[in-house]
Amino acid sequence: MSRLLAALMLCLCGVTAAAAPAEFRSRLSQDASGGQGIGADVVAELRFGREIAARLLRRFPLYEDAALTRYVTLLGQSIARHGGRPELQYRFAVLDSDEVNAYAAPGGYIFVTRAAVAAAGNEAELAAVLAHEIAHVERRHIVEALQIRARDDGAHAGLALLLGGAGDSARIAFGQAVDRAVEILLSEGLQQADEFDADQGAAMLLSYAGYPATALARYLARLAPAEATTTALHRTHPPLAARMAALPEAAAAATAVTPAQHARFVEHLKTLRPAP
Amino acid sequence: MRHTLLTALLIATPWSVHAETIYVQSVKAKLMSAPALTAQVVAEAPKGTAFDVIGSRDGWYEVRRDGATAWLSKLVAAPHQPLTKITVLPAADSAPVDNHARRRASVVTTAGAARGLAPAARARRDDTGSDYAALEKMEATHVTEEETRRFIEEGAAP
Repeated sequence: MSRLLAALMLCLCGVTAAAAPAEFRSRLSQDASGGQGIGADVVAELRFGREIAARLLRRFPLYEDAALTRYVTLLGQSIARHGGRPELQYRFAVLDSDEVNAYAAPGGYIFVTRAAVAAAGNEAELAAVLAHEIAHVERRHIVEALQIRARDDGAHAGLALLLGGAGDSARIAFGQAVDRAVEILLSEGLQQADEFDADQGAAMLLSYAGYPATALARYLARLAPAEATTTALHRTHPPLAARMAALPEAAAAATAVTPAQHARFVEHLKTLRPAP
Repeated sequence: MRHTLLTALLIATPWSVHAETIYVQSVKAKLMSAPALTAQVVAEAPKGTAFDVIGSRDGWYEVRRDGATAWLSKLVAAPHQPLTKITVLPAADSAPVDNHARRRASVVTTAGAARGLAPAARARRDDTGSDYAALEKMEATHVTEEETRRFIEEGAAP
C-alpha cells in the first residue's frame, strides 16, 4: 500500500513538472531576465506597427493642424496611461479624411479621421474613440488576427520569431504580414468579437481616466442616423446598434465633461475643416 | 504514516505550482469587489504592485494580497513587472522617461537601423506605398508625462 502511494506521489510530481503551463515557464524566464526577452518582442511589434502606420499615411494624408494634433495626443496619452502597456510610446495623428473612422496599428500608432473628430460631441466622446483604438493595441488584435503564433508561447513571441529574422525570406514574410494587416484595417475589418472586446476595453479605460464609461455609446448613437452612408465604418465594424447594446447604457450617463474639458474641446475643434 | 503521505501528496499536486504573480501595468489600477466595471472600487494599486492570482473570470483576475481578495482587470495587469518605454526610433526622438529607457532606446535603435530603417532604405521603400515623411512628422509630435499630468489636472478643474 505504501509502495503504491509512493509510486502515485512520484507520478504526481512528474505531472507537476510537465504540466506547468508554458506561460508560467515563460514568466519565470522573463522575470529572470528583467523583461529583456519581452523587450525584444516589443521591438518586433514596433517595427511591424511602424510599417503599417506608414502605409496608412500613404492612403490618408495627415490633417495638418499642430494644435489639434497636440490636443489629441494629450488626450490619448491621458487614456493610454491607464492601460497595461507602459512600454509603448503611443502616438496619435488626425487623418484628413471625410470618412468617419479610426485605426490602430501595433506598437501604439493611433489614427482618427478628421470626420471622426468632428463627429464627437465633447471631449469624453473623442476620448472614447481613442480609447477604443488603444484597446485594440493593448489586446494585440491585429497580431491575433494574423495568427502569428509561436508553438508554445503567446502571440507576442510569435511576432518576434516571424519578424526577427534576416535575409530575403524574412523580408518577404514581413512584407506579407504588413500587407495583410493593412488589408484587415482598411477593407475587411477585425473580427466582430475583437471590436466588441475593444468597446469593453474602451469603457474601462474611460472609467479609469475619469471620463464617463458611457461616452463611447453616446458617440456611436451620434453616428447612428448616418450609419447607412458611413461606408468605411460599416465595412470594418459591427452594426452600431449591436455595439451600443453591449456597452454601458448611454442614457444612464450622468454628465459629460467638466467646463475646462468642454472649453478646450471647443477651442481646438473650432477651426476643424468640415466635411464637404 | 498515511497522514504524512497524504500531506506529501497534497504538496506535490500541480495546483501548488500554478500560483501566478501578476503586476499592475497601468499608472493606477482599481481593485473591484466583483468582476465588473460597475462593481464597487475597494482599493487602488499603483504601477508595479504585485498580486497572487487565485482565480480568473472573463476579462478579470481574482487576486489576493495581504490576505484580502479583489478583482483586477486583465487589461491593466501582466505576469511581468512593468517595462520602461521602448522605441525603434533614433535617439533624438521622444525624450525617454529615464536613463534606463535612454540606454534601451540606443540598443533598439541600432537594431532598427540594421533592419532597414535607415534613410536610404526608407526612400526606396516609399515606392511600395508607404509615406515615411508623414510617419516621421507623426512621430515628432511628442508630449511628456509631465505635460500629460498637467492636461489631466487642468481638465479636472471645476
